Amino acid sequence: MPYINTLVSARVARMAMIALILAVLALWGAATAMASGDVNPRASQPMVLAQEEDPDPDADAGTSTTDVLAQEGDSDPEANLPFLFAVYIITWGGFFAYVFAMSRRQREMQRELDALKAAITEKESQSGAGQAE
Amino acid sequence: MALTLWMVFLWVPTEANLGVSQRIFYFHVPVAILALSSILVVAAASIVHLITRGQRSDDLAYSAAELGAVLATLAIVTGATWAKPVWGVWWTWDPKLTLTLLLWFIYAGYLMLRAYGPKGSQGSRYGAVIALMGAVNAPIIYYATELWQTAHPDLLVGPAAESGSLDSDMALGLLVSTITFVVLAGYVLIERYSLRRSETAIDALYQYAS
Repeated sequence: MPYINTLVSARVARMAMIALILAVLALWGAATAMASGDVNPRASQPMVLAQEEDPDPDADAGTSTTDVLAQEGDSDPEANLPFLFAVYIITWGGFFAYVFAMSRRQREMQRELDALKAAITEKESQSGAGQAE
Repeated sequence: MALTLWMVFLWVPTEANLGVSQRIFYFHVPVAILALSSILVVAAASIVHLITRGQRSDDLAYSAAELGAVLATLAIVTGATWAKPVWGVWWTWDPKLTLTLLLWFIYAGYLMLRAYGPKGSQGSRYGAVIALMGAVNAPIIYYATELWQTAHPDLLVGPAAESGSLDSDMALGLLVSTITFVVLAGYVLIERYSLRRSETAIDALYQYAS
């Protein structure tokens, strides 16, 4: 059991380290992209995303998702960069927080295990003493 | 993982209308897929537990539920962060969004029941019932855009997605991103399962010691 606990703890620590390195790498990449002034050289390429065409424009004229997308996009395609960073940070932060919670639980378990070992040793020594008497 | 981040930030083309906010897609979609898949894992493990009464399947169900709750939270939050620049609001009571919120409540209910409800096999059985309800909800969430008129974008991945509905570079970026998140979530699930097994063993030791 102690071997398993140590193994799991080491794995969690290793995973957290890898995640941290990747987070730094990605932030560096994103910062480089922003500094270059052009997020992607192929930005003018059209893409096909859902609801490019409104199937029933009369149903909700003026308020359809397509219209909203077009209005938002016409201004500045990079205007929403903070939202992208927010999602990036939230996603990684969520995983980090969960891994951190797991590692904390691991430490608590180790303490519980030590207490249990002491309790069992005491119980066994008491029963051994009782048998001797 | 480094390849995925490079693709998302530097390689994939920027969508003409949505701009860079469309790149949220490469985080939001894999996380949402995993949140839906997790409840299916919870349900499958719960069914196995109900049949065999094995502790391992129950531990797997609990671990997947905990990870699923994290993923569902991330899916909702990343979706809301995407909705704000696109729809102009953080949240709308769209069928797909509402059903995803329901899934989150199912996860929360499952974990609260396991934490504060009856212990032992009774708690496992009650949890299994909640997991099965969540499993019914998962395909409804997936097909919500087909079943109802919804502001959420149409299906771009999975069996109901139309072929060619996504630019090939974007599809590749999404594929790589999805694989990365699946591997990462799988690894976290294995770690959580190991931890849960240790917790179960310690509980057994406590019973022995007392």
